[in-house]
Amino acid sequence: MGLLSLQAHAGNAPPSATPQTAEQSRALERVREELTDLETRWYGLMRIRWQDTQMFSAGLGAMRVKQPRNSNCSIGCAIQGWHFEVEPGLYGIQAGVGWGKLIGETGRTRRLMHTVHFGWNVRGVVLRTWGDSSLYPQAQTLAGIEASVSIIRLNISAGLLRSLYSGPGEEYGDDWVVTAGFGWGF
Amino acid sequence: MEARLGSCLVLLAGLLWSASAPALETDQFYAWGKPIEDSTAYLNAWVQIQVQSALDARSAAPPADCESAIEVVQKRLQHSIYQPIELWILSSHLVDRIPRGEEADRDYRAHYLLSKTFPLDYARLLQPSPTLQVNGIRLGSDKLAHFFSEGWWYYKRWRRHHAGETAEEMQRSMFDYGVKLEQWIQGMKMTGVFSPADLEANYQGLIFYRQLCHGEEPLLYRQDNRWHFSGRFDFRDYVSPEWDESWNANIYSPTRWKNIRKTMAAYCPLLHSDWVSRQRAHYAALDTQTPTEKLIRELVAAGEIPDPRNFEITAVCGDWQTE
Repeated sequence: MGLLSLQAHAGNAPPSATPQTAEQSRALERVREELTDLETRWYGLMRIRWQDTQMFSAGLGAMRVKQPRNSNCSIGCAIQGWHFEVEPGLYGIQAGVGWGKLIGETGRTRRLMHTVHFGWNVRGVVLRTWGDSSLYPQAQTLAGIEASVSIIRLNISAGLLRSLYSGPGEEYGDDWVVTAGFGWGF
Repeated sequence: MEARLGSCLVLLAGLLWSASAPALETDQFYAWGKPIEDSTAYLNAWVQIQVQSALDARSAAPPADCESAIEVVQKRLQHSIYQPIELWILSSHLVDRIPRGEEADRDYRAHYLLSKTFPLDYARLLQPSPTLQVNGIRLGSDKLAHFFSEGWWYYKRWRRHHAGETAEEMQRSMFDYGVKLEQWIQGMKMTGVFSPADLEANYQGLIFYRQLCHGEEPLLYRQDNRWHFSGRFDFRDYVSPEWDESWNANIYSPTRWKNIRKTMAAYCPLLHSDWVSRQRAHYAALDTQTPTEKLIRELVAAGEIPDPRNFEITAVCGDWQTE
């Protein structure tokens, strides 16, 4: 195909009539049906990571998505929806609810998104720490937001949390804590 | 704390840069002799539905002019990393392809051209693109991603620079831009693969985006204060045998080529089979020298890239037969 005229078409007038063939109409109908016949699904998600407050942790999560009924994520698909996660770790446990989007694959598991090629989420989180946590006091509860991005299975996250602790020695601790983590999964 | 946050941001930027870089690799040899139903009608329908629904979503405040309408369309067709059409193809039950299904996909990953490499090979972390068929021509689904994604990059560049350039200068400048992408972040430096077939798809993508508002009969038109997408859009107008990487050979880095050559040589016994002979005769009848091919030959003559003919299956099998 050669180069086109550089001149923009000023009028943007309707083109000459192009009747649809039966094959085109049928294809349009079937693709439209595939894209609009949606169902609600849950996909399992997981991650392991190092984070400065919890140290090592393992998260189990789920994402609730609306997806075309015929869509098959075994080799790859894009999903988006509400994301719920609980993540126990060496020095604390975190729970979060938020919204995320990802491109991943389930393989033969059908509903466990074990490989996330690319994804992000933003969640409200509550973190309860204990043991040798880097915070002062070491056992306290924090709440805030966390954002994370996963690229080719690698996950990087950052959060901004406010300490909910009030008690002896509270003046020695930080009101606001920035957390950072990296790991594998979503 | 700031240092920690800074390190995270640097790591994130690095990951984002590297992830947006590579297009997925593909292998049409793997599909040789295996039947694939033609998906032209479904692919055309998908584009028709996506473009029209993007325009309809703006019907309350329609774009003021055709260029603004293109921006609306582009946001639906082109994303930063994975392209919507390719994601749809991977999960759709309508588009026939090889491989299809989990078992077939595992076999494909184990045997496709890039399968025999080193354990931490970056290129192998990415899902290889399946082969589908448009108008009798086999192509990797990554070519449709190139068509909409890099085609858009070309178009933006063309829009900025076309004033004062002749058609040939513009073509050259787009080609140079595409070659840089293939030599760096989208090809040779990242995956060790330079794909002239990708360049063909990129260039046809530019033509598509230009046809939206330019030419005698643009694909976008306004009627009753609403934008519409012409039913004339058809992938058959863009796809050529040059999109098939078993016909239009890639250039490989020396490290990559060592293994790929062995995998490719395994297809030599099929080269003169009925199916492959028929397919190649069909391609030969359709093939013309495209502007991209002409410019590739110029780069080869100038010694800037290796000759892709050295990486063709016919060259490999010639070697193989005399070994």
